[in-house]
Amino acid sequence: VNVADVGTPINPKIVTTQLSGASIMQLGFTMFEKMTFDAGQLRNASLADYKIPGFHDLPGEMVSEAVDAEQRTGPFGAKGVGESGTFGVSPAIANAIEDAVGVRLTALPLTAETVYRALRAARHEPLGDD
Amino acid sequence: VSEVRTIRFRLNGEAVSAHVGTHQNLVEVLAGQFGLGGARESCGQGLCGCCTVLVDGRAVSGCLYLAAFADGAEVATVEHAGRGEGLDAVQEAFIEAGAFQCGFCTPGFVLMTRQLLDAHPDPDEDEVRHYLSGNLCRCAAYPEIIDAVRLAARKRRMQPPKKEER
Repeated sequence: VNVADVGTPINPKIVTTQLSGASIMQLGFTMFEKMTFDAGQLRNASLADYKIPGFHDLPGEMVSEAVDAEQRTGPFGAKGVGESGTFGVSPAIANAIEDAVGVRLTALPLTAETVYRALRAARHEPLGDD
Repeated sequence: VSEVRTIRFRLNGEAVSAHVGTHQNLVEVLAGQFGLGGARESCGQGLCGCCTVLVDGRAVSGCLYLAAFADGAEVATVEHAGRGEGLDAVQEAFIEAGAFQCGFCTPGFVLMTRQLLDAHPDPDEDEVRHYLSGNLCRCAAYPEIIDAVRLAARKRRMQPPKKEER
């Protein structure tokens, strides 16, 4: 569920599309998107090595809404929407991981490997870098 | 220096010819020699669907399809349906459902949606996701695209598409 204060939505359909699109993009950054560098060179600069969200990465159900609000300093009571939908996604998933297994992750992406590494570190059996 | 050949094919219903380098892909030739910008090269690896073109009725990645292979073929791009008759049901549905933000991926989605609806006139949501999973949308207008496909299916049932001229 995405909810954002965008002031008064001038085009409500575009606002919800922006909110859901931004949140799905952030889902990619949260779950798997990671640029890897080797001596300053990007190693995965292609869609073969750097996956972005596709149809199979969507949640089963999504709701996106703008709260009833007015931005007095904005045109027609509006303010920007842009990537507002990105803000809540990563913390929500990190909170869910902490709730489930008790480790607090503070760097993205939140992959299975980062969760396992954090679990090992919490047991004082950290894994090496390779 | 690569070899240049003359190929003849039908492009969006018209007989055309082109001089193409044997290394050139279909997207380069469509954009460079015919001014068609609907098929866009994005990843250049056949992974994103932005360059989708129909060759003899089959969707191909225009970035991987060598133009020389189009010799003698029937090639159709997203520009085809709109010619002279306004938008088709799929294009109307994408607009009405707001199924894009920047629009870069939209031609590929429109062509694949037409293919999907030709094969499955009333797809459920899983079928839509599966069929369109080869097309990527960085703006992630995926929920709206699913709505658009189902809207297009309803529009087509009310008004079946005309047979494409051959």
